[in-house]
Amino acid sequence: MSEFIMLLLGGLKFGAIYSLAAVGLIALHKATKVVNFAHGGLVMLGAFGAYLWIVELGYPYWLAYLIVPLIIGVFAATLEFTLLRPLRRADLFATITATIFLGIVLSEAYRMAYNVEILAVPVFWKGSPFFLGDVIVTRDQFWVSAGALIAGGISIAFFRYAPAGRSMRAMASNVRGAQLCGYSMDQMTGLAWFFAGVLAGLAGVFAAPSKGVSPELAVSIISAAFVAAVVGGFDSLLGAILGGLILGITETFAAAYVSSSAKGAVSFLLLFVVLLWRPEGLFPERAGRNV
Amino acid sequence: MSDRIAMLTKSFAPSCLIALLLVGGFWVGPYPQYVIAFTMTSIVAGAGLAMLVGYARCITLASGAMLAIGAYSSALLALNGVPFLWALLAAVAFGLVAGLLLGVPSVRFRSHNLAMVTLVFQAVVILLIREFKTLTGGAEGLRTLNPNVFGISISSDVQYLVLIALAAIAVLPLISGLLLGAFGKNLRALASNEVGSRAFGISVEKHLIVAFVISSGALAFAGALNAPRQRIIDPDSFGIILSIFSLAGPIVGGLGSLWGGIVGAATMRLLPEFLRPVADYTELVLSSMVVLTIIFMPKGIVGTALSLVFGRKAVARTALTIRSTSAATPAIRPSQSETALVVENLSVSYGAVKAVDDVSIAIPAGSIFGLMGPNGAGKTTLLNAVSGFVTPRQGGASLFGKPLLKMPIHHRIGNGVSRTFQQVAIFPTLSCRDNVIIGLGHNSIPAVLARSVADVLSTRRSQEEARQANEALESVGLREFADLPAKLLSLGNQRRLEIARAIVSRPKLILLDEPVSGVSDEEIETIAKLLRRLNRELGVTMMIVEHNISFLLSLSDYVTVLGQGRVLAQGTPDVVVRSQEVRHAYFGEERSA
Amino acid sequence: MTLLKVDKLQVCYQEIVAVRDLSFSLAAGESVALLGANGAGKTSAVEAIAGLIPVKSGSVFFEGEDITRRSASDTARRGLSLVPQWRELFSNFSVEETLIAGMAAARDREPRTLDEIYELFPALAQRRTQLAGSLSGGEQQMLAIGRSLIGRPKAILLDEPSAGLAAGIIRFMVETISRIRQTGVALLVVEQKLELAQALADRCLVLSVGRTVLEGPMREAAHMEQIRGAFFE
Repeated sequence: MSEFIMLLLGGLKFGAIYSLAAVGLIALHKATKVVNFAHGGLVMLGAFGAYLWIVELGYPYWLAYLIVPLIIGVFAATLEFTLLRPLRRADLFATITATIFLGIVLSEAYRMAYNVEILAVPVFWKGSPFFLGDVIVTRDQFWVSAGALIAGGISIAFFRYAPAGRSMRAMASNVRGAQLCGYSMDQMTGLAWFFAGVLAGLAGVFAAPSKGVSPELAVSIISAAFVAAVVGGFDSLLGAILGGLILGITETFAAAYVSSSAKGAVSFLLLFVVLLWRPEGLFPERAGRNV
Repeated sequence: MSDRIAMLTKSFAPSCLIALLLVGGFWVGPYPQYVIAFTMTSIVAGAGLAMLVGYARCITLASGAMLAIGAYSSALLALNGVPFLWALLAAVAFGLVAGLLLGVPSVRFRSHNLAMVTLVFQAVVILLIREFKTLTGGAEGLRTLNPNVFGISISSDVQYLVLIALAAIAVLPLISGLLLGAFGKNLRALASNEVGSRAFGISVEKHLIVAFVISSGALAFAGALNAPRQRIIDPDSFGIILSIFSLAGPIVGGLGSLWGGIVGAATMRLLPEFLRPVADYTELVLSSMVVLTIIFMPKGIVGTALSLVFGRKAVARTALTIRSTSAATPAIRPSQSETALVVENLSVSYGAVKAVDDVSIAIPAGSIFGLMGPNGAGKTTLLNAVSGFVTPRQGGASLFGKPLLKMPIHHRIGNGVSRTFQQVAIFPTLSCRDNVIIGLGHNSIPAVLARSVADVLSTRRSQEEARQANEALESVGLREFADLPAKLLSLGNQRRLEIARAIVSRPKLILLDEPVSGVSDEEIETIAKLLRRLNRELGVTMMIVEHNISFLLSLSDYVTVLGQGRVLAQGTPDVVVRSQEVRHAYFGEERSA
Repeated sequence: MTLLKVDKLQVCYQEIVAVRDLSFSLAAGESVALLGANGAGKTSAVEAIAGLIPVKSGSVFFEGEDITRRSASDTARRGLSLVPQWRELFSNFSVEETLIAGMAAARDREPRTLDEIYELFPALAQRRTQLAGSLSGGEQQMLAIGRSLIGRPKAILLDEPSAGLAAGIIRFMVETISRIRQTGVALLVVEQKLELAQALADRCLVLSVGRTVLEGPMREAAHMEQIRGAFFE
């Protein structure tokens, strides 16, 4: 029983990371209709940023949670401004493929700079683990699970209640209507990409200790984020969180009870099953008709 | 005859390229021969991807898996003593089946969801290869044998080059023929406008499945041919990165073009050779190149080259004199006493809003029937219900007695119903003639495949189709634009093109949705005359939805006015115009008494 | 004082000229009706003035400044607000949130309060938390007007405010719009319904196929027949 709970908590930790990554992906999609396949690359850069800040530069760890996301946010907004703005008039196909290859550019650029296989980042909350009866909970598990989920929750609240969030939701719902309210499309798009970048960077900092920094992180995160998003309901932020948790937990159980390679298969099987059985996701948002 | 030569030349041109590469290969050393051989197989793969990605605009991330399926199946069969050519054939068969397995569940999705489903397939295949170690050698890989062809063991680079070349030359015309013929045109049509495609009988799902099947077969073919020369094949080399860079081929080369797929694939295969000095940076350079191509050179290499060479032709927008349709095909002339379309108590709701509320109309055969009403009256919704694009909540409709509503959209053209669209649904990248040929409605998969062969061989059947299309274009005054891409036409001419496409199959009923919306006054007059003439000459019943009141009233034999989803008035135009209900709906006049 | 001045406006939809050579001006507090049948170019004209679609040639001046090439959001922030023909609401925003969104247009002005809008539209007050997508046609129209009004615009462009609405609601709409007029907002009302335009406007312009065919004060009875005739041309 205690083993079960520990597996659950382990899965929860990874699930929380996936959730945070998925929220960033979905928020951007809601606001701009773009599915950013390079989101995984941004998370990887966030993890790398954490490595630089903590290991190379030796600055205070807690600051990484503030500085790195900001830098990645600015970077993402810059990418949008320079590369993707000309694409705004182009069709969906061009935009999606551009982000796919942009993701590869980011991973490869990182690989060029840092040839070492996987960079290690220490955990944030050092110390002995907690004991709840027979169940062992490491501090890192606790911190990452709670931190990432809280961050996800705050993002959803921001998106829902803050004026900037409202402007993005307005743009997501009806671009023309949003413009007529005085919201500038350019500013809103830049803001959405900044927001997505911040979330990606934050997910990267949370993920760095457990996943390590490597180019593969980009691909594994974008896959996980995507699966989480589809499972939850592609345009639902809350669904993204729940989807991420479901994915993390299922993966961990599959690795423990089936085999370690089953872990990879599980996420995709989950995606496949949901897409075929309930393509709108398990927790979709109520869709409103455009008025 | 010259058409046949032209078509056959185009179909065999890629094979000629392979032949040229082969000849060139005789003059170079073993390493370049090795590179050329792989370039040839990548050309075959590129042709397959041109079909799926370039023509059908499907984002597939499963190319690596398909290449793996071809490689592993042929290698394993060869290891078990099967002669290479049989192994190759079997590999293609496996590829075709894999394409079916991937295609069937995938085609309900589009864009990013489609990409992810293919990614699932990719990941699962690689995983399975890794897991079944005893069979496939797992992650360590599998050694492959030299191909054994008719007793000869192919061991030198030259022999290998010849083998690849012959195989590619044999297979390429099959793919290029399909792409040049009706199948390729239908793919381009559905990629640019699904709604218009469905209306004329193109089953989008079935066409996409066939595209998946054939492209997977081509990829498996390429993978099987590569395997022997690779010496060791392992699952990681067929991973997601390979899929992504395969996807780059049609994008870099140019979408919507066979040569785009070929040039792009060859480019992606050859560039790393030139990047040898900076080998570590290969992937970075390639992916950056793709991103920059998408942003700054969206037409790809081939597309950009073509537009630089040929430029854009300006299309004159002069109103042309319209000649009568030829009397060669006799018109179906139904008797005036018959009723072409009966709509009974039709209601359509969008959520709580009743867009069409208990509407009943009867359109006499051979008449022009106008449907008008202020904004939001439900006119277009009614038309969409009759043409199958919207499902009514209740009520019925029948065409010459045959019930209409249960029929799927792509069957309606076969039953004599065609339509035009409020937002012009032509296929911009196809020529005007090809747009109209699709209007004939012979778009079931067997028919399309047969027509592709007919097109390449330029048979009488194919020429007859072209002739009918020319005739329809002539009758709307667009004959001289027959070979031009439809996107070059002005809006007024595009609306005429839609009419040509709608009449070419000699339908029983044509539904026209705002045929003069956005069109200049001169054109409105021309189109009105055109529609009247087509109606009298062909005897085809027309139902026209329009906002332009004077146009509609002068053209129609009978008119129904809708207001807020309900029928306000019906009858001949002069009667309807005087109706108080109608005046109230339009002008807000208070009803007297 | 001239608030809005449109000079030789030409708007193209693809290559077809939707609006040719439209010129008029709107003074502060004035109300002008833009009449014409569908396809006459009315919607293209106001959408181009508001900055939603590009202007081919000609100019638009608002408070003396050239806003011809300005974006729609910039125009809205200057105080020229469009209530579009299809309302363009946010289907999953509540009534209240929609109005709050509308406040974003009031950059250098004090926005109106929610209560002011609720006072004008009691039906909206009763449905504060209801989602815009579930409102009736009339309520949606009220919300669209409210969203525009809350930004305290100096001029409002109303594109077919009565489209698809029942007679009773239309009467209420006319009353409310008259009250809005009294607050000093200038109005440009695009309409097909003559009687409605008559109730709302001092002057009218009749468009047919992109061109002005008639212009003058609303009240004169003789004009009514001419206008009706112009419709059916």
